Amino acid sequence: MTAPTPRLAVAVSAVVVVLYLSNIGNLYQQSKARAVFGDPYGVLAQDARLQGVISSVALGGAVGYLNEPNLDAFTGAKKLLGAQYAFAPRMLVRQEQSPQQQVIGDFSGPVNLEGFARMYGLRVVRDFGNGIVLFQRNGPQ
Amino acid sequence: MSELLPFALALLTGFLLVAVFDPCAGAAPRWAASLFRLSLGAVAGPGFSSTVYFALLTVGLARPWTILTVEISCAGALAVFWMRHRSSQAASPVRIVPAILTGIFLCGLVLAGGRLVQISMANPVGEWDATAIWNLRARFLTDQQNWRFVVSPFPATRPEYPLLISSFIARTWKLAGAYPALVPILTSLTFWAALQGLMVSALAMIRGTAAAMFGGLILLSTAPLFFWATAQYADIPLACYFMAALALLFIDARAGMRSPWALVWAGVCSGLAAGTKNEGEVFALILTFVFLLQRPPWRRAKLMFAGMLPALLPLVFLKLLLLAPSQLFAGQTVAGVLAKIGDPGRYHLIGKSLVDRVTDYPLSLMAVLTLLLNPQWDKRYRSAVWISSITSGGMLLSYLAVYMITPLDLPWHLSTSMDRVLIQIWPCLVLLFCRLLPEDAVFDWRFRTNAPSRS
Repeated sequence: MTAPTPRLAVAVSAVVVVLYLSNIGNLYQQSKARAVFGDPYGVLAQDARLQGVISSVALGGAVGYLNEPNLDAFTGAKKLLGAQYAFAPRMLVRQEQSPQQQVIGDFSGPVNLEGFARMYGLRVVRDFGNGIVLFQRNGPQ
Repeated sequence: MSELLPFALALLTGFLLVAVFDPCAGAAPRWAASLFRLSLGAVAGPGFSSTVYFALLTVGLARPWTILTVEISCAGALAVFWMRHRSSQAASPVRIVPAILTGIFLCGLVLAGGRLVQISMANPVGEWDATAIWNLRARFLTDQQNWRFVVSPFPATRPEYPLLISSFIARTWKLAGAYPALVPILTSLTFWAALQGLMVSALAMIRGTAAAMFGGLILLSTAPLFFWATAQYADIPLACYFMAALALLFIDARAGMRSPWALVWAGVCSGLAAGTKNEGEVFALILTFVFLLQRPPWRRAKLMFAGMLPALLPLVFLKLLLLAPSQLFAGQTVAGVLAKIGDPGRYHLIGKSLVDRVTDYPLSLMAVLTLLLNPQWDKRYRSAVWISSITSGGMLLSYLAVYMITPLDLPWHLSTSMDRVLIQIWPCLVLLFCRLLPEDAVFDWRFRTNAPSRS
């Protein structure tokens, strides 16, 4: 196969550079919104909310996690994601999935804590405010 | 900023490893060989530090002073060896058009890099899986007592995923004494920059500066690569290891039998790819299979395995001793898998998703460049071309096969991962494409089309 002529090579290079500049311009424009501070999954917000309770839970072992019933799946998943990340290297697991002695309650609005605790066989240890509550499981350790 | 020093130590160790066991000894142009060493060092360093940290963790010695003792001793010994043995090379001639392309590439690199830093700082925790998988597992790995949480199925952290990236972040957090978001951010951006460096430098060595800059411009124009660079996922590190392994096969072919290290490093990079993500295991398997199919002399096979096997050790430990469960085959029956394979609707969905995603790639740029394609039959590269092409094609087929039998909801699985798995092999395809572009002499006005080629 013969090599392209220098004229063609330079012309193609010029077209490629123009296309490239257009592409990079588009990328720059499209990324404008992402360059503004954001916390789309609420991870940083959860970290800030949970700081108080994190220092009350010993390092090591697993801690249960509950949030209010009837929360939509995505909101619930986002809250758990942020809480798990904030608690690590402690393990935070859904209480329904793997019951633990210490349980974190993470609520978006006002909740009847005593009723909620009774429903899950727990007792309130401390209300940290802002929807964060530490529970203890009733019954054998 | 205490996280910067441990990060720099890992990069320095990587660079010294590459400089001492030099895969591009005698390669030209000099700037490309240096850039390749730097870029390979930037991906080898995290791989080395991660492996050391994981080894210390498994024996109960993952403390800051032990990590530093091992890494500083290694870096010190390598530095002494390098200072004694380093050699200098002659500078290469400069041509106008490739030099202009280099300038345009560098401007684009600075512009894109600046925007990525801006996005990273604005979104310090990255995308969903960064928090749910990679960085969460890194936090577990900082705890000597409870690090086995990484293979627990409860937090949905994909326990079967290899641990190279998470271990590296954990090691740096451990040395920093906190969990600064800067560590995963720097890790992501370093791998993104290393990918550009590997592409440009490898192509410059095997084809010329113009082809190298075209490769760089294509990568910089790739929208999915730009998007995922700040996500803090393992796909771009994986793409780095894939491309480095294939580029090293070409560098090895160019060097002939003069230097054994390129082949060793190709083995190291494919081993590190396997340690980064499940797809890397498939890559290492295909690469090894095709390499052996070429019936290389036993001496060369030993070089490849000498690099690959140590890099595979953390993965072997994870899979065999920690028995991390696999999501792909969990709850699947043979009859169920066969029913999926026989379902034409799944082929349609996968094909449509592939076509939709491919349009996000700068194909127009490559279409224009096809006017310059000038493939040349060079016996030296036959094996490297064969291995690289089959491995890249095999990877694409393996992705499609996984979608075919995935236990997850197929539309959801495709929409959340297709663009990411494509960026894993995209740099390999760009490398193979740009290798067919003409050499620098063609861009020279004094060049005559009937002049014999250098390569």
